[in-house]
Amino acid sequence: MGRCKEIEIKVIPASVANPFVRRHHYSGKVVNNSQLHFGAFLDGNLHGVLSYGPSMDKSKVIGLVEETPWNGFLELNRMAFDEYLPRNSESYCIGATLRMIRKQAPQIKWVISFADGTQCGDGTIYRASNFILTGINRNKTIILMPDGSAVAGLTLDQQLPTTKARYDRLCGLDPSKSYTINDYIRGGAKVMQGYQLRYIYFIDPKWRKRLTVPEIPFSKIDELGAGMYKGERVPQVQRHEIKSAAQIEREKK
Amino acid sequence: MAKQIKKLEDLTPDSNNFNRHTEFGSKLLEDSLRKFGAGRSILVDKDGNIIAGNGVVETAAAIDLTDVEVVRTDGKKLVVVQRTDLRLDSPEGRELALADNMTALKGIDIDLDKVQETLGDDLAKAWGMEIISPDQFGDTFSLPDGEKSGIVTVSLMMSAEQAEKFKAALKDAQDLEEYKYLETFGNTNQSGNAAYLIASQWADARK
Repeated sequence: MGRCKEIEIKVIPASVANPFVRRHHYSGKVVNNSQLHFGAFLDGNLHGVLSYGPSMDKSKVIGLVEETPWNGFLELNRMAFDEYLPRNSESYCIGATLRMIRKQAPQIKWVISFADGTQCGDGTIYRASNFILTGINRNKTIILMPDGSAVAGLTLDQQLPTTKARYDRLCGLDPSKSYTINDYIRGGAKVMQGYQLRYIYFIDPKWRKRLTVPEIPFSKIDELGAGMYKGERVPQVQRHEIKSAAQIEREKK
Repeated sequence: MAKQIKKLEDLTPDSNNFNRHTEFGSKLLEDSLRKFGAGRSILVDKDGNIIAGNGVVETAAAIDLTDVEVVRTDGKKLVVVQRTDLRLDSPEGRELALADNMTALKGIDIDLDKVQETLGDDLAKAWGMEIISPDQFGDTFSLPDGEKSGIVTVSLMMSAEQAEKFKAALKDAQDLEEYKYLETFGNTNQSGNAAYLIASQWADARK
């Protein structure tokens, strides 16, 4: 556990969380409907942010667990850390925030999160935090724009008008109209190769039996070739060989 | 003895620059330099290291604005850059005044960690930086509880052409003055409220 126990988790406003997420999340973007932000502080400074909020497509997601009330679940929709924090900090922070949610918002029965296996990882941290794998889907929604920026196609209509207009123009589309992902693809965008993995954590373990989709064994990730770790396509068995520069530095000490 | 500076390339960017700059601010800066030429000056030290204006130098280099006019000073006189080709009371002069302010405002993204590391918290605070510390924040929160009363989801199946027209109408409806004063019955979904406005107007028209 090392220094993980020294990490202080605080509830922080979006004005503090968002700049940190933009700087440290691989996407460089925030999710606009996040409603609860936690900051992870160590040695007096902010080194991590976990943002929770309702899912964008709440009416679809809610059916994953039978009889879930409208406000009965949350999505962990952004998690960003800098390299200052010690190993295992991510799962430590997830655990700490889930405990705070259990205590202060008992109406929340489960938390969903998605691992982006096209650019980031297949959810090592979620598995370490006792999330259940409930979906491995070949990516159909994250698209690569002609300028190289990756965008979740489903959220294009929810982007700031200036951002949407920029993407529309990149694909030769009229910014005053709405488009489907296929319109952007016809305009030069490409669907990113890889998988998206859906994980669920049951804050109230009794609700696990209400899951309406099968639980998937973690071994399925390698069987499907969906493994990704720190942006590299690698099966789970080879993970221990990959270390970040900060990790190597820590181990030298 | 101060270094002789004859060209932009004689200047050395600050590798520890506190300002990370923003993409939008850099675009505004480039637009401004292209449209109006150089406005305010930059600041360098006696060895040609850039103290202020790293972004301007980088952008100027990118658009081949590489000639420089050096004013040597010890800080006891204000350096006034006089544009001999412009009047303030002209559309161009006024736009340049706006461009000067907005490029500064939109181009700033200060690296607080770097400031704290280099100068410490006290100086960072003295210069108006908000230091983020865990003591400023609590550990309590509340989230909406219970069911969303009276809110239902309506799904419609449409052809692509119908959907396009429908979505365009929803968007137009949100721009209407009536949309601002619409009875929402507690619904916060913008598309739902826009659809309700369209349906209400259609019903009124048939009366």
